[in-house]
Amino acid sequence: MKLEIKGITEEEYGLWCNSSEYNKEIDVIQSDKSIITKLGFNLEEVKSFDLDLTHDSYIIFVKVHNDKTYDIYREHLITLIKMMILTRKEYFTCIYIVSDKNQDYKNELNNFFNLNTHYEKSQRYGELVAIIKCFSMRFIGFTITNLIISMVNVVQLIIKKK
Amino acid sequence: MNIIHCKNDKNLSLKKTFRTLDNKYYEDLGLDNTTLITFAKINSSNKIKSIIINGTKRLANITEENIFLHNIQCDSPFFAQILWDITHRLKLDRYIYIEEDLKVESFLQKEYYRNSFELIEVIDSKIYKYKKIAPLLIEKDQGMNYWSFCLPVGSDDPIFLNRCVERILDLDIPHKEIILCGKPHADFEYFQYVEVIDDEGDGKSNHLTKKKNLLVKSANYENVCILHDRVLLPLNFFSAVCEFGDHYPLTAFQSFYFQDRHNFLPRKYSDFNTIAQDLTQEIDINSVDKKDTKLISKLFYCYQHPARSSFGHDYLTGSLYLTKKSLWLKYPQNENLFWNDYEDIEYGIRMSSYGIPSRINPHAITQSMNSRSVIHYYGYVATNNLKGRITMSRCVLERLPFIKRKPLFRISKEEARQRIYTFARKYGASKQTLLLVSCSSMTGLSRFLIIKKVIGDITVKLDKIESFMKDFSFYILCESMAPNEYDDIIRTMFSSASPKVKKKTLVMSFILNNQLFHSFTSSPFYKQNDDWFIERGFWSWLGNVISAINLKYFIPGVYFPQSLKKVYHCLKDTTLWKT
Repeated sequence: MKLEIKGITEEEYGLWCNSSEYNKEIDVIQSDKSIITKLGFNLEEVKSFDLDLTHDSYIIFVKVHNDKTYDIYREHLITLIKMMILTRKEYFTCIYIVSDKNQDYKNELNNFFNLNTHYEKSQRYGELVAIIKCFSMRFIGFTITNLIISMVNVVQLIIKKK
Repeated sequence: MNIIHCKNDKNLSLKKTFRTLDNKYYEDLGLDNTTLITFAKINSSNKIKSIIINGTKRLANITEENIFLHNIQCDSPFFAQILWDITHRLKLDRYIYIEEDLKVESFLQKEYYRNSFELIEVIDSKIYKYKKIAPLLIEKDQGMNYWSFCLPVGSDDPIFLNRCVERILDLDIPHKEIILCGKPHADFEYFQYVEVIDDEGDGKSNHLTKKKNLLVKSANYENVCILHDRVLLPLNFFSAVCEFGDHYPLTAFQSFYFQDRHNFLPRKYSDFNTIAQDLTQEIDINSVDKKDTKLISKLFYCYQHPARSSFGHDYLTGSLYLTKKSLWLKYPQNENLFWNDYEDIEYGIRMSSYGIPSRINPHAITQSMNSRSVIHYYGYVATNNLKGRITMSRCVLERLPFIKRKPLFRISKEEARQRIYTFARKYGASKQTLLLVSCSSMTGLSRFLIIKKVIGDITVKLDKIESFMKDFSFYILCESMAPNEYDDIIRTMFSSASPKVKKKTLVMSFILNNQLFHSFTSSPFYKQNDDWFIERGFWSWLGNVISAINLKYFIPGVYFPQSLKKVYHCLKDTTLWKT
């Protein structure tokens, strides 16, 4: 599956909607066979996208107002892409993030779909916990190690609630 | 009327029966030539024969012609094995009387027994009188002198297969044959002593169930021992099976894997398990296929104590089956399932649904020559102990870090390095990371940290996750994941969780951490092909003595009714000695 993620501002989107001149900027739309889906343009419809997956080319516009709406659309986008992956067909999909902060959202989505973590400041992936757990299991034993893990989980839960 | 008073082994902490036998009533029934077997209390001044029953005890010395089973099913968890032993000893045209206080499932109506027993009458609305009208299936396979050893094999390095077959050839059995199914490696040393049959496979998938069925079909003898090529049989195999007796159901020996190079660290390894849930209630046990394995993987299973029994829940884990040929041919393994598809659970539970129990022969043990790390949880195994409590058990010496461990992987350090390098390159790791891989010392800890570095550095497109996970298993873990862990990780990888969380899931995966637990400062890879073999000498003698003491007295879930000296000999005779 070929997936492209692009970003445009609301202004650019408005120009595209009202002027054929701007089609040059949104180049993929030149393909007439593309199925265009819009998320977030009508908030009431946001939860009911009914995508016909029998086509080959898809364009998804996602209008993002703020981080909160982005969180919602992000889930929907992931679901849509998963639907395509599970169909196991060679799709071409282009996602347009329509927002003033489109670069940020675009990067986040790109990283998500590519499992990229280079942007993370901390490059730790739980290895210290894994090593400590191994030592603890070896020298202290299963019962106490598991008790400590349970206690840590409870403390974390309490802190989160507060 | 003879009376045999059975008592459940008191060490098992089973509830004592409150029932009392009304001797007079049964004497008045006028059942001649009948032995009454009961667990109920008996108020009698006459001396009554008493037998202690546990999971490994067989009822072999009952000579009377008819048998009366009094509340066996209501009073003992060992009813299935008692019925098995009794019904196979019962002569044709003789009667078996069954009385239960509660309306329990009629055992003799189960598939295995159905055609051999006919309900003649119901006495006083509670005693069911059955007549044995035909021999049971395995009765035609009488005798213990003829054995077929059946090994499903792959085409990888035959170092363990050679030792496995060598041991079978060493066994003192009047008549034996060895059959292999698959394509053994060209370095296999005993082609002239074995028959090799084609597995009719595509060479890609390990269709273990089909291989086992083909093997038994090809067997010429009535006793069949199906074993994996990593299992080292005991030298006293023949005396152990003879001592256990003929007409055995699905049987295996206890199995151990020694984690270290001097036999100090025994671990239970793949013999007799039990599943907490009733699988027959969850799925149609007669038509299980691959889609059901997800459900099976969610159920709780642990090692069963050989002296305990939970009929309908217990199963043998597939590394070793001692069985009669006719039994296997009538009830073959389910070929819809492959290796790692919980085919052993399905088989054991399906067999019990027909009325066939699975049990352990305690007179010998086997040793596994190598191990998969998924079998253990940081060196522990979940075990149903003698009292029936689930405990995490391990040898106390496991906490000593300086005991030299055997290699974890059947690949060399350089091959492992190459695998990580290939994986890292394939998924776009930086040159700096690739350099780190090529310079790593590949001790357990450095390997783990390199893997973490590689995982942090790579990128994977979401639609390539499934092939990525296959590569992760092959190149990084160097062994197959347990299906339930694989499913959990796939679910996380497809979720909306952040890439960091997903990578963390991989680094903190149970299987990788378990591999790290195996060795920190030493290498988990082999240097020489015989690194798994034990050198004879003082340390291995001491290791076997200490392990015999640990196994007999301290490690839960293990059962050795024999003397300490015999336990030591069991260990010594199944040790993979260097030659």
